[in-house]
Amino acid sequence: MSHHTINGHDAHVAHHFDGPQHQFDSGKLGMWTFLAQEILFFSALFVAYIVFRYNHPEVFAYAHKYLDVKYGAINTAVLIFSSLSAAWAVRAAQKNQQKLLIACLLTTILCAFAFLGIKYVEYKHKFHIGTVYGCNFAPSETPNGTKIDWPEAPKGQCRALKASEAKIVVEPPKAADGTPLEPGSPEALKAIAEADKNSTSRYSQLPPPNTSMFFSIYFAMTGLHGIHVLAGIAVFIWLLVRAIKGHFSEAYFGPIDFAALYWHIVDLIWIYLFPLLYLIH
Amino acid sequence: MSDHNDKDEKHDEPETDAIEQEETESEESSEESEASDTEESEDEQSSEDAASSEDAASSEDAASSEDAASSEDAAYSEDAASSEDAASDEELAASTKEERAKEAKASEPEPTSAHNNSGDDDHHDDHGHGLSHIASRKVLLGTFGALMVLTVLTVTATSVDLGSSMNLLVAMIVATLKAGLVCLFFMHLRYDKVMHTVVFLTALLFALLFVSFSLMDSSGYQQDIVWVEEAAP
Repeated sequence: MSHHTINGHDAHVAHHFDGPQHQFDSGKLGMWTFLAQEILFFSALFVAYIVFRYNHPEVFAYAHKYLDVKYGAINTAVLIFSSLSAAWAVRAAQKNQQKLLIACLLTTILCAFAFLGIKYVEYKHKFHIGTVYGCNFAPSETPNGTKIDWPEAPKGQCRALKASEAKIVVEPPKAADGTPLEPGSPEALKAIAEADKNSTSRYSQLPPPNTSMFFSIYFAMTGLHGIHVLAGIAVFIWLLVRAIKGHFSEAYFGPIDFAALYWHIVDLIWIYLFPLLYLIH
Repeated sequence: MSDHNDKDEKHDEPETDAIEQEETESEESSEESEASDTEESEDEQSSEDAASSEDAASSEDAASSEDAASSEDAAYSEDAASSEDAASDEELAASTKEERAKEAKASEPEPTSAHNNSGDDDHHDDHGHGLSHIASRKVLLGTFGALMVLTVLTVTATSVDLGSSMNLLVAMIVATLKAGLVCLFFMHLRYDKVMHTVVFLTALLFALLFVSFSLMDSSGYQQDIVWVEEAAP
């Protein structure tokens, strides 16, 4: 309805649209359709999660302790803040605030990199201690830090985790100030007894069967989410370049709006991933 | 755009011809509404506060009165727009409370005389922009604050033992509240065409069907799942 005045001098309207409003509404509906597809795309992994957790609650109760809630919570805050700056970028474009628009886009990109940086630290630690997907799963320690020795995997084959062959290596007991205690001394024996107090047998500390599935699901879900963050970074860098060139204004801000919608869906999926993976009681 | 106007028109207030693009001024004009001394506007303003807080997702009536509030604000900013500066300028253009109160008073009779609801569309054509709703600073910051509070809440709730299924339920309720806030305010669904909400909910419906059908027989295959070894001794 507003195209009477704008259409004449707006170079951004493609020829097959009646006017800016038509173009904007079509783009937005298209974006929402894409987001609907994204939800269905991710729903397959959520189904895997739900079915597996429903059947194996003990695996989730054990394995989630390998994840650090601190990192997950920081990443949640980072993503929420980036969503705020993305929403603000839309507002800035709608109000023709060019500098603010560039600042908001930049903030969103930096937050996305911060998110991936924290994710990298988490992934690196998981590969380091062997809590990875599928048959490579062979954690070198339990969630509370007790070392585990697994038998060598036969060459060219998946490592078979035989719980009966696993050795739990108790670290040399240390005093409160960190200095190693004399092995066999009363203080050392007391420290070992204290460490063993919570477990009924040494095997109770080992991962339950099928724990690798938790990490398969963890890497699939956070990995797919991470790919979406990467794609978001690419899109927002493209928008940043266009914003610096001054392409956007209150008459043309569709790309900013649609990219922000995509970014909010990425945030929204993380809002569910965080409690489902990190916050298991 | 037109959808939002329709909502506005449903309110029987003379000021309802909103320029959506300028509704953004709502946050600073919250003081104007108070300055214009109408009981109504204060109520609406406070319910707008409610809308941007945690309960927002559920409170439908707060939502509708926010419309009224923002359209009143729009009436103010429309006046400001005609004075050349304020609409295109930064929000802080009218710096002191007194100035803005004056402007608000000046704007009051104008909407009733110069505009009416039926002239809404023409009015929009005059201005030619406002492709979609602009979120106010208050709503954006309120949503952000509520999301952060809920994040702290859900982390804290995990350390409280409510039984594993109860803990899961609490975590999912909080996550759904957060998702609702993101959808309604960051993604503009509150102010947007109903069609977008329909598309979104349709996807959720099919995801739900997917989960339900998958869970129907998932325990039936448990005996076929083979691990490399029997359970640890």
